[in-house]
Amino acid sequence: MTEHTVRLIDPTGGAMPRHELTLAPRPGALGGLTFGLLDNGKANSDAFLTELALALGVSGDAMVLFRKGGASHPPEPDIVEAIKRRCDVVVTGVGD
Amino acid sequence: MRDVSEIETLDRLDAIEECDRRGWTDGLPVVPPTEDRVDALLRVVDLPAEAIVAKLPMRDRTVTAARAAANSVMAGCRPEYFPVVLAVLDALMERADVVHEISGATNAPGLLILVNGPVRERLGVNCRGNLLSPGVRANMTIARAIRLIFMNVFEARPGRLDRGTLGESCKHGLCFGEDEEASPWTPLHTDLGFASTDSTVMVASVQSPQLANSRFGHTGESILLNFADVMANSGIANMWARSQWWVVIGPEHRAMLQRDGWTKPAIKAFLAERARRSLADLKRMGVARGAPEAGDEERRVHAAAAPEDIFVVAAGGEGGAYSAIIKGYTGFRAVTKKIEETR
Repeated sequence: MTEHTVRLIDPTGGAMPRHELTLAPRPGALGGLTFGLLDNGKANSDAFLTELALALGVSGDAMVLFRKGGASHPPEPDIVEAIKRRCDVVVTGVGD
Repeated sequence: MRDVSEIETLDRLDAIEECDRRGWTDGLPVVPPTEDRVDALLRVVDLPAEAIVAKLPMRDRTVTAARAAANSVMAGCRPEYFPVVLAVLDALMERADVVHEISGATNAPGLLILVNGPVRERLGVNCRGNLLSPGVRANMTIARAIRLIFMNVFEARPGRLDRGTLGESCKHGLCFGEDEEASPWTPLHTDLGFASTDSTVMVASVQSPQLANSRFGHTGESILLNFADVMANSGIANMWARSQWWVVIGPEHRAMLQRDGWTKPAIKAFLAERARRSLADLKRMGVARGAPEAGDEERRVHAAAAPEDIFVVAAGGEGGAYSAIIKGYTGFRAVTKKIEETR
């Protein structure tokens, strides 16, 4: 049998672009730190994150709640800047 | 931007398995996207391979004409279908950020691709019997091309960026045409300001259709009460207020509605008013938040926020008194684009 060369156009456009990220250094303890909570707008996201912070021993006046515009999208630039300016740590990641 | 892979094989049909091995499929075998087949589609629209036809900035993904054509070839599209595929991408790019959302959502909606105008006859887009079933090449492969673009270029693969849970049976894509010639009403695209001679696609994120089978009533109103009851299905009632609706009316139902003098505006107004559940009902089922309170039994929640959110479409086969109700998934509300034969 004869060997054939088949030329295929890649339908994917290549691998997903990778962006190099490093994690911020972890604080040793939460006492005295301002704790940001990033609510994604899903039902009870704010309540869940608040309970989580309380369970971690964070006091009410050390919490700052932010809410981004849509669950599927990153927070808006002004929210990111406010988090960076006001908070020492931030928690997010509520699902549906 | 044209990436070409060469594979050496003793049997050209081995390329089918090679595509599967590379993860390029939707679970079904694909037509290998060979250079000659891809070029045939590009010639139809007179586009260079590297022309950008869609982008998802959120994911830093770009659809070139070559990639769109490759996925269309894999789907089984004939070259003459390619302008329709590009028109669907045009529509999706009106809200690229929402495309990001709907292609990854836990709801896992499908895409409605509703075709109007002369292109239907030219390409053989089915508007009648077995309207929503598999079986007609244009309907199946145009929808499949978009699905493959989502999976291959936008990386919307189940379990990765696509977090669909139960999924949707219409996620392969719901492409069909309006039966303008048999309709007692104006074609949908002319209602939106297009000329009757324009060929268009209306694109929206949708849930799978539900059948409405009023077959014993003697009035148009009995049919519409059936439609309203189907629309009031509580399955995903928690997104009603923002949903659009497509009421796809089959021949027998159309005839009775026409006989009783029902116009499109009257149908839309009736359904907007009558498709509803009590708030108490919805709360008891957990599709509305909170426990029932005094007065909730009388509070009505409507499936459609306004008549303008309901589209009446004439389509489907005859012989069985069926229509279909399609609920829009709130993410990508309908965008309608003209199909351009060349770019």
